[in-house]
Amino acid sequence: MLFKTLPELLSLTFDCTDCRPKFVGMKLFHTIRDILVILILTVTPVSMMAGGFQSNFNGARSAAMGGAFAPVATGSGSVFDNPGAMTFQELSSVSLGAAFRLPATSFLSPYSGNFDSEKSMRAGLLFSGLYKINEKSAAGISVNTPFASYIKWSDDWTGKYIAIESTTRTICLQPTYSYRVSESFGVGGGPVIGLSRNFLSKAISYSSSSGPMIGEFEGKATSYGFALGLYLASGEDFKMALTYRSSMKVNIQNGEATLTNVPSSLTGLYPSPTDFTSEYQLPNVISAGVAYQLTRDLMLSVQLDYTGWKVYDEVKYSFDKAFDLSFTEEKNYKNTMALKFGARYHLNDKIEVMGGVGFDNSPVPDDAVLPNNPDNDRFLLSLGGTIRFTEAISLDAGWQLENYKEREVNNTSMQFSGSYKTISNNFGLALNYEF
Amino acid sequence: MKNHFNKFLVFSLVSASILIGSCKTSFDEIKYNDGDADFSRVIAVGSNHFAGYSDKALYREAQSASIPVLLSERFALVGGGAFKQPLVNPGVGLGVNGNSKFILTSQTTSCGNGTYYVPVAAADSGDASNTTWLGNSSVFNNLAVPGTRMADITSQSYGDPSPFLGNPLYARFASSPGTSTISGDALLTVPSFFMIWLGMEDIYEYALSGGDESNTNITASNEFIAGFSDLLNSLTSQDATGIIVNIPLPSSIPFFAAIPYNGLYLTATEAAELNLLYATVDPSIQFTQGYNRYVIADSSTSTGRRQILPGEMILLSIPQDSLRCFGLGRTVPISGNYVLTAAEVSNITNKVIEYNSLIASQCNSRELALADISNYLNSLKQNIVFNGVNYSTEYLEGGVFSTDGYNLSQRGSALVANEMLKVINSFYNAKIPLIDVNQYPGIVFP
Repeated sequence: MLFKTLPELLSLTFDCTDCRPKFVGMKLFHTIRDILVILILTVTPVSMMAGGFQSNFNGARSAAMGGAFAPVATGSGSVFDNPGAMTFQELSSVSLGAAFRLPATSFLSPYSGNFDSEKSMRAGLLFSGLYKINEKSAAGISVNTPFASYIKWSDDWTGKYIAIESTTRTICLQPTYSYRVSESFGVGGGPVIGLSRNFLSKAISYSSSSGPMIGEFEGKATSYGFALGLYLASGEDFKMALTYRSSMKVNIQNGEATLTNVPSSLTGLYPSPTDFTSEYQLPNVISAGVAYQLTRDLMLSVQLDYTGWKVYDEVKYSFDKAFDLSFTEEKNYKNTMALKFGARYHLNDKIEVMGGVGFDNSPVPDDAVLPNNPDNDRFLLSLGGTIRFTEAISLDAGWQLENYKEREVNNTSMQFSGSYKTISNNFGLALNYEF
Repeated sequence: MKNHFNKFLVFSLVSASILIGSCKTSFDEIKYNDGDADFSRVIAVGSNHFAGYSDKALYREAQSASIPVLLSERFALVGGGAFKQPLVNPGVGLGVNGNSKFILTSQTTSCGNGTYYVPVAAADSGDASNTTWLGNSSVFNNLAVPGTRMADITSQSYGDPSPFLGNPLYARFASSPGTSTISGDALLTVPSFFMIWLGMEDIYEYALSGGDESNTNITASNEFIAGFSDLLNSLTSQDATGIIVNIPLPSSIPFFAAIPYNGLYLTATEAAELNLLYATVDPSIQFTQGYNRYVIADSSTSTGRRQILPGEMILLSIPQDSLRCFGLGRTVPISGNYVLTAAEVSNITNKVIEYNSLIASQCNSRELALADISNYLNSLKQNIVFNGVNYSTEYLEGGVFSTDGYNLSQRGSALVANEMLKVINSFYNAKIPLIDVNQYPGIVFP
């Protein structure tokens, strides 16, 4: 049903018999727009997705619009979603909020039945600030967590020798500068500082009289990258966006491993605590999007995200003083594409309602799925909006459902097979102050 | 305009309702079935591995994870009936020599050059209360008795409670000690399905003693298969089907394979010293820096000793301390009871191959399932992984065999049971889930 509506929606853009390029960039603009539309139409059918452990909730307003926010990029959310749009905002603003995730995963083992992951709520800070220096330039900062994954299984579950609890998250701080190149064209960009934390706990093969050894591996790292954004606004109706977030290398130099239940005859081989190093690469993301003001009150947006997950091929844990502990998690992720649609409806002066749907593919191949991150293709559904209290103060709220397809896997390196099913309910709130 | 907006709205609402409707993370139940087999009355006949004998004794925890019990728990999912086995009391258990179970300890050598693992008896003797007769309380499904040879299953005196006449581990649950036989007791339940693992002790009692023919001999193949055939005749006479397990090779059992024939590590100085000593005694015995072949007793040579050859085996029962501190294997030749010479290895290997070939023909002609555990354990010389845990036939680290190096560990039992389930699923067109090996305890390290 979607694919019948889409061409219909987009055909509106072609019903423009008296359209003529009004200024210099317009002809180029039309060409790019047409290419983008064709791209979307040809890519739509089967494989698309970004998935992995990327967060689909990077701002309350952007999440409410299904993440198709790069071409919309209003408020201080533009700092993260499209730095090129920062100078197009009327006022400076500050936004403070939080995003909450409630994931739930079940695993069906062919040997021992059903296991449910522990229900927990994960919270992340959403902060952005945008300052209009003058008509031509703006500066801003964004703080959010574009990479986040958390799961906890029971201590005794069937996959305990692979993972019991796993956390991986990178908080990104992005100071940004934006410049208005022309009436309809803006660019922006800035460095990204990533603060990563990785935690893994699992059972280790040898047992003492109190049970198997348990290892807890905690590592932190700071990584660097950059973000760029281009924003093209043709009149009031059409907006286009192209953004790029670079890959970042997470290099854990001083990870600490703590082991419990170590048999006393093995403390030489398994000292505790002991150091480890680990490293992995976070992917780059290219996004292209289009937003169209369909009517005075309704805007629609569509966005394609291409994530270079191929760089995430393995995570090796190396131990200098406990060589026997060394292990490698084979990831073998593949590059992916995600397709997102958003809508924003201006109900009245106080309320704007938003919604969106998205299709997010998984970068993880069937033979490499691990219980640390039981990823699969997902369907995203979002609802939310903005309530304006005063001229300066407004509240963004968004709710997002991530419905992962059921997945039967056999991880060949660990010989761990079964079926996973995940659902995540996410929501966020942000309070905005414009000045 | 309104039309398009309406369509979009409808689409969103439809998707939302589909999504919310599928908003659950639970799975549908899998349907299992027993295929062509009937597990309502299952019996097991065998020796150590089927009895759950582990760490040199019959003790409660290992018995509860014996191969037949693990299989019966799976059979229960597809209409299998109750499975009774004569459980020993919780505690140190009881071994064939009246001993307690053994636990792994770490010892420092007397000459202070390192530590080594050695299993040590948990108590001075086994729990004698386990000899209390249980045969009047129930008819048992698990007829496996540690130490049982083919001839024993038809022997009445095997059930005599006196250890000089019979085997107390059978006497304790024999339906009529001194009169009943294992093969007779096997029929009491009128079995619909049987599992058999016999022949291990016929061959390995000899091997475990270092090939001491004055004490014990390998049962001749024709005698073995005649007894086997008789047993199968009586079991299949009432339409029962079953699965037979064959015999593993000594090279896949850590008791024989753990100590390499050239495990004697010498420094350059030590090698030179030994060469000096042997120059006058027997110059054909040579050592170099690095790994060397042990010196073993050989009455056929003039010096009563020689160096061991590749393919010959050193048994795990050898005193580690003497090896490291008192010149055993260097200046003191290793006695025959800790060695399997080439002739002995050859004898054992040939018998294993012969037995297995005869077992295979019986299975073939009677259309019974064959679990090729000989092949499976041989393949486990290479590491395999199960749900993230490595397994192999390596002593202790491999996790398949218990601390005594000969009997299976609980996880080893589960691995073998899984192989048997795979055969049952394939041969009898059943759909039975395999066992989660890792949920059973691994070797406990001190």
